[in-house]
Order: sequence, then C-alpha cells, then structure tokens
Amino acid sequence: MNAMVAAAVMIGVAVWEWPNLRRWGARGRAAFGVSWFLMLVWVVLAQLHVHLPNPIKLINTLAKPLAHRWLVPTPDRYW
Amino acid sequence: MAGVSARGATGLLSLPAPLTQYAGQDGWLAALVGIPFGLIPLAAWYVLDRRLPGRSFTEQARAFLGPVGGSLLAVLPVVLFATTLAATGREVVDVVLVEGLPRTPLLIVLPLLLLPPLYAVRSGLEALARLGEVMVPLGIGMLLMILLVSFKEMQPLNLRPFLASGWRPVWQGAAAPAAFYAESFFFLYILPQRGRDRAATLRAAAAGVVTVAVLLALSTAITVAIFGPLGTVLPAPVFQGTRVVSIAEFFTHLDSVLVVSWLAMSMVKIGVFLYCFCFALGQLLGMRDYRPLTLPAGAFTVISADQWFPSTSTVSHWLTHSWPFWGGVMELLPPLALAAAALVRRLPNRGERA
Repeated sequence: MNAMVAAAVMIGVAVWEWPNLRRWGARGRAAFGVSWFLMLVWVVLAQLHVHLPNPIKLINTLAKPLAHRWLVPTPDRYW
Repeated sequence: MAGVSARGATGLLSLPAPLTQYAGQDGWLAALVGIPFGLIPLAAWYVLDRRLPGRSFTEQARAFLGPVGGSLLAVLPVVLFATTLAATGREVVDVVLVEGLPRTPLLIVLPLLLLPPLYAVRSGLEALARLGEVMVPLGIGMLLMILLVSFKEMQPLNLRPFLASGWRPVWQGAAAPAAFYAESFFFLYILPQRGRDRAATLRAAAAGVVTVAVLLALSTAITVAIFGPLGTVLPAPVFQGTRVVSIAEFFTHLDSVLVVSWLAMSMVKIGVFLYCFCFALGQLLGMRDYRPLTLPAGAFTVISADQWFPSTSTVSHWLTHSWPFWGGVMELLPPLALAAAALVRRLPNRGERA
C-alpha cells in the first residue's frame, strides 16, 4: 500500500511538472525523466523493504581504521 | 549569509558533543583550531578564479585537465554533495521527529521541510541568497538570545584547567568541525557568479567561515560551562541548555526558540547544497539549465536520508567517525589538485581568459 501511494505521488508530481519540460530542451527533459524514474523505482523498492547497497556503510568501513588510529578519545583526569 | 548557514546550521546543534567528547573543557578551542581548513578551498578558488575567472569548478576542471580528466575530477563534488544532502536531511528531520513529531514518518516530514529550499533553488541563486538574508540573521539572533539568557546557569570553573591534556585532544576534537568548515568548497560553484571585486568576495566568504567557528566556539563554551562533563554524553547539548533557562520563572522552555533558529538556518543549508548538487550535476551532464534536476534532487534527499541513515545513531556515528575523513578528503583534495594543475599547466586556449 505504501509503495502504491509513493508511486502515485511521484507520478502526480511528474504530471504537474509536465508543462515546464517543454522549456528545458531535449537534454533537460531526458535528465528529468531518467532521474525521476530512478527515484520512483528507489522509493517503491524502499517501501517494499528491498534495500539497495548503502554507500555510507562502505565509507564507514573505509574510515574505521583511520578513526581507530586517530580518533580514540584521551581519558580525562580532570573532570 | 548562505555560507554561514551552510556550514553552521546543523553543526551548531550536533558538534558541541563530539568537541567536548575529545577535547573536554577545551572544546571551544578545538572549534577555533579548525578554521584554516575552511579557508583552504577559498584560497584554491582565488587561484583558480585568477587564472580562469567567472567559471565554475566543473568548467575550470575541464579547461585545465581536459574533458575526460576534468569530468572525472568533477564527479567527486557531486558524490560529496549527495552524501552531504543525505546526512543533512537526516539531521534536520531527526530533531523534528525526536522532539516534536515522534509518530510522523520521515517520508512525510522531510518533504514538507524541503518545500521552501526547493522553491528557492528553482527560482535561482538570487532567491536563495535572499532566503539566507532573511533566515540567517533570524537564526543567529535567536541563538545569541538563548546563549545570553542562559548566562545565569553557567559555572565558568567548568572551563578549567586549560589545555590540561595537551594539544592532541584538541586536534582530535577539531577533526569534525574542520570538515564542516571545509564545506566552503561549495563556494567554487557559487562564487563564479560573484561581483566585480574578487578580493571583497573572498573576504566575505572567509568572514562566513570565521563567524561559524566563533558561534560554534561560543556554543561549546557555554555548553561546557552549564553542563560540565555531562555535555559529552548529551546528544544535542545546546538544545538541552535551553531547557535549564528560567528568567523570573516566566521565560522558561526556550527550546521552541532554538528550533525556529535551527530550522531557519537548516533550510538555507539544504537549499545551498541542493543548488550546488543540481548545478554540478547539470554541468557534468552538459545541460544548459540545472532546474530539471531540482525535483529529482529533492526526492533523492528524502529517500537517501531514509535509506542511507536509517537511525539517529547512524548519522551521529557518521559525523564523528567517518565525516572528518570523508569530508576532509573530498572537500580539500579536488580544489587543491585543480589549483596545483592551474598553477602548473598553461591554458589550451588563452582566449578563454577574461
């Protein structure tokens, strides 16, 4: 149900945006169409609990050794 | 104004905790130590703008490194803006969800919060600047008012001893704010549309960095003065500070004032990064106008905030452990590499110079 509502909202916004597309030229129309379609697919998959790979987890994994090396808090003796 | 808001908005609430976690009572000093990192991208912009004035980072990269090398380098800011938008979206919505609307889904709250910045971005850079002119003085004014009225609750002895554990904790504490200040990298997409005076533009942008650092140092010092060691474990100590304020038992619970201040500045921050994301991506794709990308970028902000940062703790971990490295590399490396290339390489067509 959530996925259907999300898809309906996304399609509704695209229809509302339709009159502007003529002003933006072929490349603008293509950019909007492709990116909006990708977002629609992503939001529907998210609502269906299909999770795509998370780049933040990858960055966290890469940063972990650096954080362990440089960002370990110094024990405080004064507070 | 946009610069102050873009760096300071979310950081003023979330950064005092990691600052005091590492640097203890010297957290305010750590907030000031990071300032040079915010000035490095501006210095790079100055070098690049002297060689090729009035061009954005993407155009300059293509001019100095060729179409392929320049495009590859210009992908990095787009990736950086994407992660920043996701993290900022989550930070902004978290306060609303945790403090005000715990039962409302993120997918309802965040799109509503995004409407004003999206409208401003679609209207152009000038509309965004005007939004900043209205919101930032309001935000700073409210913040200063809260800091002023909490004066009675402070215990200055909490700020002592000074540099008791040496400089290492101060540098560790400075890592996260330094990455926040280095967000001045976004100016490489905004400053090409500067006025006639390059030096005055640079001074104004640098003043933005220093203003944010001073505000952050002030909030951290006041947090430490009020809460002492407790400030290291509170999630948003400035927010908690508003709850202890009581003037004649009449002015109490000033947290709503802080929420107004914070939301006002956050809207400008999201607007600035949305603009830079759309503008950078549009130029990378060879589009003559960035506006077709504004709505998809807004949708991207909502979905990535929900999917990439599923909880408050994930964004908190990101800010303290990953963001200093990720932000530091992605914000400093591209402008420095391009500035070095601009100093070393000759322009292929000297007629391009203004």
